[in-house]
Amino acid sequence: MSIESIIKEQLEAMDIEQIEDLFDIASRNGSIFKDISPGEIIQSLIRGESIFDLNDILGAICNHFMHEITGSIVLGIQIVAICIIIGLLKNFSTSFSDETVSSLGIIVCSCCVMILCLKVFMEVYKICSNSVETMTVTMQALLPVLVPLLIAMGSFTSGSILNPFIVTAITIFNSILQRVIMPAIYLSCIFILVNSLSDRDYVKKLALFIRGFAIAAMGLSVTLFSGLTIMQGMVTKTADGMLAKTAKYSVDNFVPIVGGFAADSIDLILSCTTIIKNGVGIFGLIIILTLLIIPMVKILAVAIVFKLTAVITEPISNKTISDCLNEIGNTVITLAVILFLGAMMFLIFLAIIIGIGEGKLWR
Amino acid sequence: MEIAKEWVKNIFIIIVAISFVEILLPHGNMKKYLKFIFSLIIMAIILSPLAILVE
Repeated sequence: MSIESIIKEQLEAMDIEQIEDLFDIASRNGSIFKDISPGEIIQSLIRGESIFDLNDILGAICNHFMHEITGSIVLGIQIVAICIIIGLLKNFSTSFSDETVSSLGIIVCSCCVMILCLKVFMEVYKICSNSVETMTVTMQALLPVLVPLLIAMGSFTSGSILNPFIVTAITIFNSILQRVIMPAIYLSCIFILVNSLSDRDYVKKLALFIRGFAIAAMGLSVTLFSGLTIMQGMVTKTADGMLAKTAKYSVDNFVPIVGGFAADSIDLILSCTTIIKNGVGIFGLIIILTLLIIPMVKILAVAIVFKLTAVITEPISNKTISDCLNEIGNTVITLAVILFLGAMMFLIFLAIIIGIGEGKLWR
Repeated sequence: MEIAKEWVKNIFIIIVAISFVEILLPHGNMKKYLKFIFSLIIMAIILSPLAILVE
């Protein structure tokens, strides 16, 4: 019986259609990986081929980035146009009898810039929030498939302790992100925008403080959850190693004559399960990466447009507007960082599960 | 959550209103005193959640 036929039999007995559906959901907004399924990944794992082509992926990312830049350049052009009007109004202030008229004009233009910025920021915020939500759903769908595989390959302790632990961590993390951290960044964006209306800084420090708080909370929760999970993973891995060695030793020595062969064939079947588990895990990694990279490129494109607009409008408009555009660029980058940290934590969780029961456990 | 929403809304409206009113003020001696009073109002609004905590 060859390894491939064992794996094919095991795969057919499993229900992995649900995960394949997740890949379709993840690549709805465009994907950088070509269509790929857990079966294909496992095939290439056995043959030792590479799963994807690096050049293709880099090319896809570049294309996507240019596409997003051209999509959001409209915003930049609109803002620059309004800023040119502001510059004109500043010069006309002497020709009007009263300075009040031009000041009013400038503040109305600032309101227009504010509304444009808020619209784009809302869009980016929604993309970020959707992406985090889909990542959580992906993890919650992957775990029920991965954990039985863990138990099937003999990691009883890991399977029974890690599963509830990771599910709890993911759920708590998701609600902290959606209820506290992302709204805080939204608030800081609103304060920065409203601060651009007058020449004096009324709430600038408050906005920066709220943003700093959001970043600190994010760092703290990622460190806490991933640290605890890694520790748990280490402990259960050692316990499982003991269990597995004892099982193999007793089959080998206490079953007369055929014991040695039995122990070896147990070894073979269990390592096949390990390959399947790693294939499914890698498929999960690919889904999380797709969910990370596509919104990330979009968010960074918007951030670059904001920053460039700030650079362009600095000479012609007033100081408050270009400062505000610059700060909103920073806020958008903060959103990208938070998305990245969140995805990083999910990747760590998957890597821990893939790492459990690597080959040497059975030697 | 509701309190935070209310707070942000208040700050937003007050600052927008004050930046409009500041421009429309007549030039004169009173302008700087009025500006000071406006700043006091904004400070009071920013500190308003503290009142709930004290209660």
